[in-house]
Amino acid sequence: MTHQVSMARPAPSDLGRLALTPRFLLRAGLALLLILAFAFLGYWQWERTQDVLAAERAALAEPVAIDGLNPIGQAITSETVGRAVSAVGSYQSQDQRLVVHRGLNGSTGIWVVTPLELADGSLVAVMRGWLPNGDAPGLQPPAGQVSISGVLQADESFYKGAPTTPGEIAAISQQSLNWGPQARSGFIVLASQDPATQPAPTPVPIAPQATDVAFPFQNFFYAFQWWVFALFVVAVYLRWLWLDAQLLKEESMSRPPAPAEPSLD
Amino acid sequence: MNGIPGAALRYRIMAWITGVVLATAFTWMVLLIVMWMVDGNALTDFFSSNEQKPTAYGVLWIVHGWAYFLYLIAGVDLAFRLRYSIVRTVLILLAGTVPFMSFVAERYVHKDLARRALPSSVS
Repeated sequence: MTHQVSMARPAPSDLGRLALTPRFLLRAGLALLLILAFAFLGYWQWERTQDVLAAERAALAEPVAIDGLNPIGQAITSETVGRAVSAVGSYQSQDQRLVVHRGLNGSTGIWVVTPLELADGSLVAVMRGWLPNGDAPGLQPPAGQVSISGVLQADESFYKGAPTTPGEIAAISQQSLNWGPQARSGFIVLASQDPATQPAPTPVPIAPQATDVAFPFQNFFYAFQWWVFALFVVAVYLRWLWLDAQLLKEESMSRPPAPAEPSLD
Repeated sequence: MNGIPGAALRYRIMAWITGVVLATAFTWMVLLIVMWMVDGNALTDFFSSNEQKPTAYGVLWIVHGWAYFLYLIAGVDLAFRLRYSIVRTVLILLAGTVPFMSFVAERYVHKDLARRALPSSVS
């Protein structure tokens, strides 16, 4: 075999005719199977990406004990704000505050904020929910020990110095609550309380924030990559077709000119 | 078809890069699994949990994925030029996914080239 530089360029009709031969139809079928398999594998890795994210978010939405999260004198950090938390203690109803002008489903009312005394004597503000006004049933918190869960929020920083009557505040902050040096910063938006009591303020639902979970890059890139591999199968098939067509052309050119073009029909 | 020495060099480079990255990632994985199981965890949990795995470890696997893609391109190109059969081509391509096997495949290909008395660009 001579090592001549191949100059044969198969025409599109050559490629088409070759593609319809049994041999290349079989190869096209195999390529299609591979493409489907790779597309499915990519989809599977994409599902894994979503599953890992969901699992990480679920783990972050699992309440953690408040104890070490916002120690006295420390502000809520960006890692702890929006975190699902749990706490065990007893409500101190004498220091309860009403946050005025808070709406729920279109009605104006109040938020009820009650200090919960933890085992170490510190106080954490619990926003127990919404009531239409300060005389509504459910204002009084239950006596005795309760265990609660909710979402931790940072102090509200608006409406500073807004005029209010005693026991009423315009926004939740350490200054407006004024519970002394034992108070922790921020407040818990109550989601559940055990034992539950009725009547009680309407819960104001807040979803835990989970923005900082680790993204599963490995699964994500694998998903993307399977789809690139599927495209690669197409490229290999076309290259194969081209090379074989080129080979046929070279063979027909090196042969002495035949009296008639052999028909493939 | 011409260009066999160039294609062989490209394949050799990708076989080594893919092989080194895969061997590193694989060895790292074995070490992590040993530590994971010494801590009393189940083997299946290792693959479903990402917490104990360093970031660089995950990055290494991603790097292997893309190095392997280049390995595929170089391998298919060379196999076409050498007119390898489908089975032989697929085996060479799959060698890039099995730890340490891409080195073996690379040795095989270059022995084959030497036997054909075609000049391999790297001695």
